Amino acid sequence: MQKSTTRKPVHLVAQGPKGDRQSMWEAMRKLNKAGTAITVRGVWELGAEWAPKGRVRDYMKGLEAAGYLRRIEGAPGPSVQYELVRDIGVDAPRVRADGTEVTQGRGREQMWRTVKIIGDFTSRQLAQAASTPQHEVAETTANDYCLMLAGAGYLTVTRPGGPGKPARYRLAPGRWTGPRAPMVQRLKQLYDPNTGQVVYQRNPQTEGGDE
Amino acid sequence: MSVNTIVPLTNVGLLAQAVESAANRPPELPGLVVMYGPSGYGKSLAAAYAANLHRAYYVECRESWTKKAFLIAILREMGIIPMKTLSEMVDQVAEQLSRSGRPIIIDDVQYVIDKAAANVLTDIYNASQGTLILIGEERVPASMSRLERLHNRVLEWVPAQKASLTDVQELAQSSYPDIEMDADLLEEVRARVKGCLRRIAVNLYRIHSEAVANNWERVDLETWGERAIHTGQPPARRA
Repeated sequence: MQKSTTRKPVHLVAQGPKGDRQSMWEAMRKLNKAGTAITVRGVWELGAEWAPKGRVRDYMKGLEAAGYLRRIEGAPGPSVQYELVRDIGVDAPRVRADGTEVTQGRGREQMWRTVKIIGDFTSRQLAQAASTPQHEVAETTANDYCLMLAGAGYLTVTRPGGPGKPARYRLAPGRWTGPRAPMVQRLKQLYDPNTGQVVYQRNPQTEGGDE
Repeated sequence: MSVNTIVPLTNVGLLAQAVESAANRPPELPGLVVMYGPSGYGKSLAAAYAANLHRAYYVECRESWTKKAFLIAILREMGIIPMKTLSEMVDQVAEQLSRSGRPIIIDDVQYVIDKAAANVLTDIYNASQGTLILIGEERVPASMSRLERLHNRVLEWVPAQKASLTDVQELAQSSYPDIEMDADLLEEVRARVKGCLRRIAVNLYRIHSEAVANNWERVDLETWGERAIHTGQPPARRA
């Protein structure tokens, strides 16, 4: 938004394990800070060696389309070189290859943020407090999420539910692990991207359930 | 119609509006918004809505915080690994704020505003020129007048309002759609608790339980009769 008035470069490194976009983005910022041109190869070597180069290329194409990267015209050498023209900080932009924004997960992000703010709540109240005109959160979604978070011990039940009486929850002390919202995955398990761990499985038939 | 239209409480709307105008201000204007008022007025709900609208960072202050604890809490909220010195941490916070353009909400700011930790706020604002939203109790504006460099960077002061009858009706309708609560009863509750939203919620819960227990579909002041309205005051001793 505004120009940065920071005196000297500081390093913003995200905590936790890096997802695809996050590690690629951090690689680009690192190259940028070092004054090096950004190439698919450079990003791949620095932050995504485990991924097919195609994925790196797609992400960078998306960033270019969305105006984060700009092609350096007439750069020497065989590969396309980019510069970072819109650095939005530590969090990787979530864009598709065509540059459109990925908004999947916004409802979950809003619930996770809201849980921290509103103290104690029913799943209905969470759905209401976490909804915005752009991204509404359905009560059933909030209810499922509360059950998973409570199963993982992230929420404590302050009043058990019963017939006609919804359960009340609150964030368990010290269980806010970071800004990235825990995700409900297929197989009904809860994955915490802040710690890189599966923290809950609804059917504990295999190992790796609750810690 | 969706079941989840946002509860349009007065304070939620007031803060959302103030944050909106701060986030879209022309660069020559300052970027601080301060919401203040007694606890229980629904400031947290207002904070949650404004935070979700703008993907704002949110930090709740604690009484024991030093400068360092304050900065570490902010960096943790941002998911950034803190560097060693205080000044590096200020730079980290400031860089992330100005690059991302996301606002930061500092709740319960009365716990830090009278202490050395308050300088963190000034430093962050000066280094980032970002949008800072401070939320706290009634005395926050008075405390801030001593911090001149912060005080004159306030774009909007937002005093939290007492709940209106419309607020109470909205809350009753959205929390307990199965029971019809009459305006005369809701107005009585509102007057007795002096517009404190948290106490209103407690009373609505009691009214609802009582209605379910008695099979009422509709409650008005007459139905409620001599039953108590919870005001937070201990009951008077009877002679």
